[in-house]
Amino acid sequence: MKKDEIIRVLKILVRNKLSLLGIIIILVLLITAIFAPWLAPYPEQAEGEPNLGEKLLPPSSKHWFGTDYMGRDVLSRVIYGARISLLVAVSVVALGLIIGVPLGLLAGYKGGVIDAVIMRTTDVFLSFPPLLLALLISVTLGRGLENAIIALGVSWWPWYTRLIRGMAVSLKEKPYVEVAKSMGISNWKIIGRHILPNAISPVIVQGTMDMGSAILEASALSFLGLGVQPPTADWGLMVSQGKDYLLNYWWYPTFPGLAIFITVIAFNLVGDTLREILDPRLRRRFL
Amino acid sequence: MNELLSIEDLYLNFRTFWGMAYVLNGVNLKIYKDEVFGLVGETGCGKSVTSMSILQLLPSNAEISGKIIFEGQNLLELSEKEMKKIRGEKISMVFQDPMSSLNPLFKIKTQMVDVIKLHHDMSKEEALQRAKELLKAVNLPDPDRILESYPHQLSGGMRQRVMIALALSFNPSLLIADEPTTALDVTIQKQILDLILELKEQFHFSVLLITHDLGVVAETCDRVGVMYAGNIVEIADVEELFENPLHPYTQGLLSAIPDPRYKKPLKPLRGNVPSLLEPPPGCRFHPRCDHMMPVCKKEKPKLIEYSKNHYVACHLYGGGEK
Repeated sequence: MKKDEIIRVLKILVRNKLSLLGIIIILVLLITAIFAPWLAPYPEQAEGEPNLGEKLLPPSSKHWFGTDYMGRDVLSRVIYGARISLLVAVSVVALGLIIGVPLGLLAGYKGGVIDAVIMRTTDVFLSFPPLLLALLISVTLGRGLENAIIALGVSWWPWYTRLIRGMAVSLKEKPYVEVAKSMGISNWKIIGRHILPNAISPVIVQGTMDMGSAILEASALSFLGLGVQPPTADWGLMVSQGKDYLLNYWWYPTFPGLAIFITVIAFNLVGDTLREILDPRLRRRFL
Repeated sequence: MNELLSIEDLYLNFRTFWGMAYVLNGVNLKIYKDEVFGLVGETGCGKSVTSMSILQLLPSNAEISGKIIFEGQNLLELSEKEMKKIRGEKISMVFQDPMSSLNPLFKIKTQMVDVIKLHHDMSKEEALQRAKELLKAVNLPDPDRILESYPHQLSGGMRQRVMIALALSFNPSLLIADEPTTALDVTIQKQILDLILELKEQFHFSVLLITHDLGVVAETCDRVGVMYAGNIVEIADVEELFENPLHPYTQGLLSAIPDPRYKKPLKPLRGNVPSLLEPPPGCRFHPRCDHMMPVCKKEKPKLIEYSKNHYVACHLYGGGEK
C-alpha cells in the first residue's frame, strides 16, 4: 500500500464513529501501558508490595477501584496489567498467524498429500480441549510469561490454518486465478497476489476477536501457576484471584474484568471496520 | 498458408470417482497464421478442455496423449518452466466471465503492471506506459482513469476489453478466446468481436474462438471446427460449412437455428449428449444419427478431406476406408 492509501484508510477509520471509539480505547491502553509507572497512583503496590493495613477496602477517593486481599491498589494494578495483557494478546495472535496462515495457504492451494498432511495435523491439535494443549506445552516449557505465549500461539494456529485453507480452496477456482495461470504467473506470485489478499479478511476479524480470548486463556494459565507469576499484575490473574471475593468485595474482580471486556470490544470494533476497508467493494460506502 | 498450431490425435481422459471419463477422443485440427478458427459444439463436448490442453492447465487427474505442435515444438513434451514462457508470451487467453476475471482487490494499474513486468524487463514507469498504450489499443477511453479504477467500477464490456489488453501485452501469436462474449449483452458482444478482429489485423495473431453460438461463428471466423462428444466431426471454411454441411450432427445443429423468414418448426436433435464415462462405441454420434449404419457402432470414423479444405469424420463419406 502506498502512503496516500494508508492515510485514506486511517481517515476512513477515524470517520466511522464506532471504529474511532475502538481506536481511542486502544490508544489509551497503549499510552497506559507505556506510561504505567507515572500514571499509577501506587506503582510499588502494582509491582507487588503488600499493604496489609488496607485490605479489601471499597472504592474511595484514595483508592478509586478499591484494594485487593493484600491491600494493594486495584487501579494501579489494572494500569500495570495493561502491559501484560496487550503483550499477550498481540504476541499470541501474531504467533498463531505466522504459523497458521502460510500452512493454510499451502494446504488450500496445493491440495493433495500436502493438504491431507497439514489438515490432519490441525485435527490432532484441535482434538485436544483448547486449554489442555496449551497447558501441556506450557508444563513442558516451564513457567513464565514467554513460555505461556509460545504455548498459546502453538495451540492456536490450527484455527487460522483451517479458516484460510477453506478460503484458498474456493479462491483457487476463481477465474482471475485461472487467468493468472494462463499468463504464466508463478504459483508463489498467485498465492501472494490473489489468494492471500482475498483470503485474509476473515482471518483479521478472527484475529482481533481472538485477542480477547488470548488474554483470558493466558490468565487461566497464570491462575494454574504456569503463566504470569504473582505478584506481577495481570488482569486475568486478578480476575481469577478475585472471583472468590466477588460476593462481598465486588470491586476486586470487577475492575480488571471490565478492563478485559473493554479491550476485547475495542479490538472487535476496529477489526470490523478494517474488514470492510480491506474489501474495495465495501470501501465505496465510506467514500 | 503457414501452420501455427497443429493438434494431432489428442486423447484426454480424466480419472474420476465414477471411473475414467473419456473426454477427448482423438482430436485433430490445425490453425494457420493470421486466421480466426472457430470451435463450436454443445456444452461439455470438450471445447474448453481442448484449449486448456494447449496451455497445459489441466487438473492433476488428467491423462493426456497425442501431439500439440506449436511453432515447431510439441507442447506436451515441454517442462513446466518452458510452458510458463509459452503461456502469455506466445499463447494467451481471454476467458468467458469478465466479471470475475480480475482480482477485485487491486486496481487495474497494479494488475496490468504485474503481468507486463512478468515477461518484459521493464521499470514500473515503462510498464505503466505500456499498459496505457494497450488500453488505447482496445479502444478504452481515458486510460488514466481506467488504470486507477478497481474492477467493480468498470462495466462488463470494459472489463473484457481490459482482459483483452492484458492478453495482448506480449504480442502473442495465438489468442484463445473461450466464449469471450457469452456473459455480455448483444451490442457489446458485437463490439468485442469486432475489436478482436481489428486487433488481429493490427497485431498479426491467430485466434482460436471457442463458442456455442453459430451466429458468432458466421460473423467472425474464417474456418470452423465442429465438436461432438470429444471428437472433431467436421472442419470447413465458414461459408462452405453453412451452405454445405456434411456431417449429420452439423446438419442437425444448423437446422436447430431459428430462422424468422420461414416460420417452420425447429427440428431439434433427438436424444441427449452421451455420458463420457461410457461413451458409445464406434462413432460417438451413432445413437442420435438418422443415417446410422452397422459400421457406425463398431468403427470410429476418421477425419478425411472430402472436398478441398472440407474435412468430415463420418462413415457416410467413407471415413472408415482410409
